[in-house]
Amino acid sequence: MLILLAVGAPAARAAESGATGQDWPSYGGTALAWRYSGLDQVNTGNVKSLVPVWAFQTGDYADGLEATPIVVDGVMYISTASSWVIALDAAAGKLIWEYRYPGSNVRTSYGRQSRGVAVGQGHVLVGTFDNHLIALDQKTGRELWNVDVEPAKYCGCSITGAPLVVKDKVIAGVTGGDAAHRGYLSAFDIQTGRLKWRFYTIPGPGKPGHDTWPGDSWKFGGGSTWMTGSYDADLDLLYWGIGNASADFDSSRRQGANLYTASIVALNPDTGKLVWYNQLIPRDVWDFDAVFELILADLPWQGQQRKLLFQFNKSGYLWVLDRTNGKFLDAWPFVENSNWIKSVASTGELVGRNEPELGKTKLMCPSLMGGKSWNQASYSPQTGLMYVAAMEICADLTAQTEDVEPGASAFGGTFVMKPPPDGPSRGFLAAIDPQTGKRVWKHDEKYFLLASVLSTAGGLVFCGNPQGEFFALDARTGEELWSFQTGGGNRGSSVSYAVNGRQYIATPSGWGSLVGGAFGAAWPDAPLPRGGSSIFVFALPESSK
Amino acid sequence: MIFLTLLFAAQIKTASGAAINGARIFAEQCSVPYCHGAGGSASRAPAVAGRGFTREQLRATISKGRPQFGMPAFASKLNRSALDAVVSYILNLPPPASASADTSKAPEVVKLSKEEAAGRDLFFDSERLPSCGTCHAVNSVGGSVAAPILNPSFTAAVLNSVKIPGGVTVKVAGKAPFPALRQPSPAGTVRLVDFSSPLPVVRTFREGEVELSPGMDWKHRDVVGRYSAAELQSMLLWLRAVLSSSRAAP
Repeated sequence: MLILLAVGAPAARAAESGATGQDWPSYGGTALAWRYSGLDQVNTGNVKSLVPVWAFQTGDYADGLEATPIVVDGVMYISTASSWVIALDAAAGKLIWEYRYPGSNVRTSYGRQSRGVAVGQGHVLVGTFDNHLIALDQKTGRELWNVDVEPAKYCGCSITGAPLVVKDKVIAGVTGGDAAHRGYLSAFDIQTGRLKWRFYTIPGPGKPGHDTWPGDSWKFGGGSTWMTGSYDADLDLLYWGIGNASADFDSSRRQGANLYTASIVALNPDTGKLVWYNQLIPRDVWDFDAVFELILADLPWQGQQRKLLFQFNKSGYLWVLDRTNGKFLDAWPFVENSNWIKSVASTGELVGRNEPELGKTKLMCPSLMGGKSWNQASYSPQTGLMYVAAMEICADLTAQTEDVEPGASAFGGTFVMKPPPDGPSRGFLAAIDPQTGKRVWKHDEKYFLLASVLSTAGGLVFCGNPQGEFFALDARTGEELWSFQTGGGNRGSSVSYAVNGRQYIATPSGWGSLVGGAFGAAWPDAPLPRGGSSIFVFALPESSK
Repeated sequence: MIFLTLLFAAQIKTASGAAINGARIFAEQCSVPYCHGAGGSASRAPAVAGRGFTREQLRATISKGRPQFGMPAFASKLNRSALDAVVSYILNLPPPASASADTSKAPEVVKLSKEEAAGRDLFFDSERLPSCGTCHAVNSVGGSVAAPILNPSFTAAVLNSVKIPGGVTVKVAGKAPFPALRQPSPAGTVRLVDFSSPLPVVRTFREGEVELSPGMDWKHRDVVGRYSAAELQSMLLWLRAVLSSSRAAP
């Protein structure tokens, strides 16, 4: 009975919290996006015994592996850079089925990358590099439906983020925010693929917020939805982060707040209607976006239990909102080199904006790669801490005005990566108290960390680095307890799950992607991280569990 | 022969001498986030490795940029020797192994008038679904569920009278029937384009899951009818501009 509880109890808790149990059912673990496993069979006391139990090579090696594996009832579902989908026996690594997307040789504006699938109601859903959304039969991998969301060669966009299943719909974002494109979020009927609603991230003529865009700038103002949102079933609110305004660094033709770019929006999931928004970065001129993890947690806030929303933004700030109404609560820097603003006021207003200037070169910190990239942070209710993989890198930024065609890149400037004023370009993993913004510990890395963070009830934090090492830290102290060389650079998102009472830790391995490809821009003299596309799975030896 | 040998030797020397420097400049300036990728293998911008560019082409493109594609001019950022070094580096890059590297020719740009550009934006308008571009491609840009548009001499009257042969009404047990077109299907399946959605859905059923009857209530003129005469005219203007060979840019 006790043995059963050891693995059974976290699953029971998962229903009322953001912790996962046996399964890893959704991109962020659950729709609350904690990236926290309630499993504790692998813990600080025995993690040094962790061994690889299986590995799987996807065969799609050119552009690395960024997926978050989804695990449901002992089956793991992953998507690869070329939008292939693979179902594996999660305990043995045996292939159950694979779907090799036959997409065309389209120019891929944002590179070939796929951050994962969604699984729900017998369907496995994947977005493709040429901007289709596809549903497969969960049992067989057979294609059930396929929608061209917008012609990729016109919009210059693609779907790189994992879709999100909410009730009878699947929600999918789109890239295109660094191009002359108008972003949106689309909801499809999960059974038929029919479009149910579309939320434009830039309000059209006559809509509230349209007056924050002069002239025709709203038609090509960016505002992509390239990462995955979160969902609070109790409030029945869908949260999604919206990307930067375009042209990225030149706002001369878009003087105004540029709603709803660089904002967090809460939508009615049945209709796509806006319930509230909070624009973190009005008139974004740094390419900082607001598309990143939306961690939904109920925590005490100044003596009162509140429903909160957290985002570690590319700007190097951790933002805290009240997720019932979008009210700004606080924002704290989590990087040391930050000169894009002086501070965030108690109202949420950015103070002392240091903007790129036309024809002038300025050192901007963080760089357009961010104080962190899209790779997601984790929240552990066990320690009460959040864990973020971050970097200290700056860029010499020069704004310029460009005339571009629809769908073409529209950066509005050029950039050269530079080390920060206080030392070499570098990365780190930090534990942050989400109620004060204070850093509790920091684990230093030579290069940036572009893999998501996983925390577990075993008191552990997992992440991987570009050199290929997948490692475990003590969640309370940051002490490194274990590591394993996976061969390829770590660029994906690790997860934990259980099959037949045995806890597994899985991580993708294989370097790739646009920002990954820019490794040499920050460290021109270092060897480039190794590519590949593999899943490595670890567990305690059978005898010791 | 002596001349050739000397020239060859000089190039080797330049190439090897400049390669280190050029690699560094390329890494710092060209493989920055979103642009040409590690080793010129392409990321957001096209692959430059193994494309057969000449030294002169590269020098000119890097100096002047390609502003219509978002590539800045580097004339003020790279001095002559830096430019030569990075050009040499690119010329010596092996072709990329990446399956995703698009080594196709960059798309030709037809300079459009304001009215023609407005027609193009209407054709692909993502807010008025289905737009023309949802289903039809022009010069291989656009949807693939209907025939590409090849003929620049359409008129509004022709568009209104288009009849779609082969339409079917599809019955699935317990669901409302929907209009569709059949597509070639893998064995044992029925593949259909479901037109009941603002974005058509290519759906694949097992044989026996669906019942088809000839004829459908979806009509091309219902879509065409949502555009005003002026809007149709504007789209036709654009089609003529990009489909008539005399306007295709060199």
